Amino acid sequence: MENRLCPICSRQNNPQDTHCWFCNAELPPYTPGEDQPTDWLEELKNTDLNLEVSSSPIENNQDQNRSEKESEEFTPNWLQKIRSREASDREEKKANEERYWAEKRSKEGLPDWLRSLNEDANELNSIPEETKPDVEPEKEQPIESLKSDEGGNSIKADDWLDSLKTWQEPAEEKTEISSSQTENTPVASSPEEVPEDSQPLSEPGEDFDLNKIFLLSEEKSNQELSSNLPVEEEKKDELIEDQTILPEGFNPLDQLFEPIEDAAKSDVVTTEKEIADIESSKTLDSSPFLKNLDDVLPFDEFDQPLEQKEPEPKVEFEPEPNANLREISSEPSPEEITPLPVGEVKPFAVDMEKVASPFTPEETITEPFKLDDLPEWLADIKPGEKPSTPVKPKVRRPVVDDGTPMPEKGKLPVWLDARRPVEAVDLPIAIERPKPGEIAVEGEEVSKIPSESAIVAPAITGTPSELGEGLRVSNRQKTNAALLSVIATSVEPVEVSAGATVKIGNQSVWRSLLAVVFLLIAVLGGTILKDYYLQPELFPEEVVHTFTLVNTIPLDKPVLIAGDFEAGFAGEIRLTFQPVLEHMMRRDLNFALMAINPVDSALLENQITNGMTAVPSFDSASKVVDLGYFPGGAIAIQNMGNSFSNAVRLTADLVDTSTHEITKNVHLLSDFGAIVVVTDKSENARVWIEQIQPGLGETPLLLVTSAQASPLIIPYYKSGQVDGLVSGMPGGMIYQKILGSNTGGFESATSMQLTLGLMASLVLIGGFVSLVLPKTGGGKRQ
Amino acid sequence: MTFGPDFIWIIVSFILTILVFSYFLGDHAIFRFVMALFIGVSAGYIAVVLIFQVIVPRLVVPLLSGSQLALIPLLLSGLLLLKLSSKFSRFGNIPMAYLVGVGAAVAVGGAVMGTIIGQVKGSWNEFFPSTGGSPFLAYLEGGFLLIGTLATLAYFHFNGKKGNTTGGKRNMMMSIFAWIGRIFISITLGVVFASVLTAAATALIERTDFVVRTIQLFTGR
Repeated sequence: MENRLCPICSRQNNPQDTHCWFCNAELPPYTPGEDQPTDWLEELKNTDLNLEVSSSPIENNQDQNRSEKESEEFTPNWLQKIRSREASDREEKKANEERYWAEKRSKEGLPDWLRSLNEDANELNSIPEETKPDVEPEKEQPIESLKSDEGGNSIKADDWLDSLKTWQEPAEEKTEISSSQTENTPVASSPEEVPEDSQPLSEPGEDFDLNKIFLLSEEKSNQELSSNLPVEEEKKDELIEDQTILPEGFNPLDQLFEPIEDAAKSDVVTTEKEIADIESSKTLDSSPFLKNLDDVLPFDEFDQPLEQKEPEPKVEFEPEPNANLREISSEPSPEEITPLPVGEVKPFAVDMEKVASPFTPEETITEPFKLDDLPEWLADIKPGEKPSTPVKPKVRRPVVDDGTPMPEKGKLPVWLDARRPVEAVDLPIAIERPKPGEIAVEGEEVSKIPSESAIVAPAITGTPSELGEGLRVSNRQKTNAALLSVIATSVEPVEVSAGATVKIGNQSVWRSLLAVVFLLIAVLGGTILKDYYLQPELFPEEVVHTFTLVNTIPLDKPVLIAGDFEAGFAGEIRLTFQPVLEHMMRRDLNFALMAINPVDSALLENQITNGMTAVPSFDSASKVVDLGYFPGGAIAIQNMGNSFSNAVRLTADLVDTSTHEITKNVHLLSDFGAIVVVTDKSENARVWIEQIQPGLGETPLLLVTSAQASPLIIPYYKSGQVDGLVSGMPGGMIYQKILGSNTGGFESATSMQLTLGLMASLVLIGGFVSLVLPKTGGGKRQ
Repeated sequence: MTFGPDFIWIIVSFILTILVFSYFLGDHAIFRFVMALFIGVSAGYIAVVLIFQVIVPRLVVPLLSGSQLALIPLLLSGLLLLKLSSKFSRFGNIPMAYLVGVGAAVAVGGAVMGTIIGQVKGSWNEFFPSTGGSPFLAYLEGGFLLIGTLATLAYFHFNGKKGNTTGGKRNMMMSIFAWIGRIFISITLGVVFASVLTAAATALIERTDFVVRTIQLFTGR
């Protein structure tokens, strides 16, 4: 493959390139069969940059035509027609080339390649619309058309050498200009920084001075900035005369900036040609150099509209002080801001204040775009450079099952989990696994795979777009539906076995049978078997001690009876407390009834009423005072232990306790003859013991409790904190036996003993069954 | 027996008792009606008791008599009623804090002075024989009581040395005491369970006796 050497940087380029990839300089026309680099180098050496081309392209073309004429006698007609057609085409292209290079040589003060670009753009924009279809194909690819000319190889070679010769002089001049502007203006960009192309014609700001900007900044950046400006049609007619064949996408720099009046008329791209130019210019922005500029330059600020100002006369392409740039920068008025048509490129509306700010007199910028301006990550990367260190793929460590528990996978909220992409979700789907008998894939183990459908890792088929809003059936839902269907088909129908029904029926039968047995025993023990009870040989110490204490209660002191039990235990409390109450009634003691539970006051009064049947001489109206409900629980009891008269001021009949006949002499709890607490719970009894016992002194504290509270109260009796204790129906029967009364529950002693015996038997049988039958395998224990 | 209020209440009590006994046939509407009736009657009775035995004598009467001290419970009660409102319920925290704080202080003080010191003192007194009693039996009973108490406390002592493989482990002495304490605890819980059964049996017998007596009353036997 032949390479093309750049006349500027002497680097090799691809044959199809029109501009140098390294310095962006225009490459001379290329002919495939020409040994271009060698000729160029040899001639360059011989002429030492002032070499005159010995033969022009036109002369070479004439020589070629002459030789063709000489051989015309020996050629057939068809070949002559082809040759004549080719000759006519060649002449036409040759004329274009001559005009192109002639105008290029005539221009001075600018680099050859840059002037040509401007002229090309001028030519493109100056073409009238009606002639556009004819000119455009030829304008779009002028160089390619020359390349296709097989007979013009020597002509093109001379042509580009000629252009090289003409280019040398402007280059020297350009150096002079740059050196003269080093104080206040940046040096013109090096060839490497020259932009490759320009943008389509765009509308310039009114005060925009191209020459100033050009001298201050890089050519490429200016062309880039001005790429989106629309074209003025009025200017086109004036520039038609200067039409030259320019590379695609280049605009004449002089036309880029026009007065604002004209720009306002054509601030919107209107013609199809302009649209085509804009579109074609977009494709040229793929150069890596331009990409770098995009990162450096404040293009966003350039998009701001210009301020309307008085038009200034065109300035020749001469450098001026940077201070003038501030004068011409202004903000556009709102009237000038016109909306963009859809699909159009935004007009070049540059905020000159911001653009010119880098070139203020305070700052001397020698390089328009320094490498320091680049981001760090971009400064280290050269165009087309690939990363030095290849990215290594992550190596996933194999998971070794060492028996340690693995952390559970985190779960997202339902609403968030539903929005996860399908690819991020491990969806279990039900698929058919191969049966054990089937042939397995190599390297896979099939022996452990069950034959039924199993849950395996899914093959993801959904996309995140399928998880959008609205009622859509996602893959997850489909998978769940499939999973449920598999489960539904695999689950065996649950049959309500007759055995379970029989078991449930047996439980009801056994429960009813036990209830009937207990009722029967209770009834028989209270009626037929009433006299067949076992007399207790030993009386409990606490009951005997209670009986003794009741006998020692002074008659002038009342007895405080505090009821602290639930109504559900009223039957047991009645059987337990009735002998004790009868004993005190027999002694004709005064009673002060207090209810810690609201219902206890009535229950205690009812017991006194029942006791009056056994002790008819007892006058309840004068011997009993109802203190009513005493709220507050432990706090109230503690308060009452400190001062009874302050805690209990009124009776249930709203009589002052200090004036009542029974309680008028009671100020503290120790003023009572005895404190009898009737309770069904050990916690309530403990509260009384803890709160009032330390302050009772010689006053005995007697407890009448339910049977269920006695085991936890006995330690207090053993420790001497409780003086007497009667617990449960057995304690009441014993007290009744000591008292010699026929009231109370002693008549039900047979029922009590039979029932307790039956309960103990059931507990023992149940414990034996629990211990024995599970070992034999016949138990139901789970 | 003459027809009067007592006779009516005996009939009503008999019917309600039979209906409650019908629960052994299962939970049915009649049983649920009886339960609702009991709950309703109890609530109504308690409300009346609270009004006429608490609010009137302890709040209204002092206020009418000009006691300014009664304004404090009135204010605290009003704040406690704000607990019903979700917007102002935080104001009810003041009386609640007062009740909880005072209740905790009373309970702790009572437990220390009434139970801990009293039980320690009682256990120590067991070693001294009563009048005319055998000192050997006293020592035996006191020792048994002391061992039971210490063993029970040792069972609830869960500290131990850090083991190499299976966490903490009690030392040998503590393990022995804990094992003994588990025996005492089992016996205690068994006794409590037996006492509960006794209380249930007592309620059954008392009601059965009432039914039998009522039937005998109606039949005249």
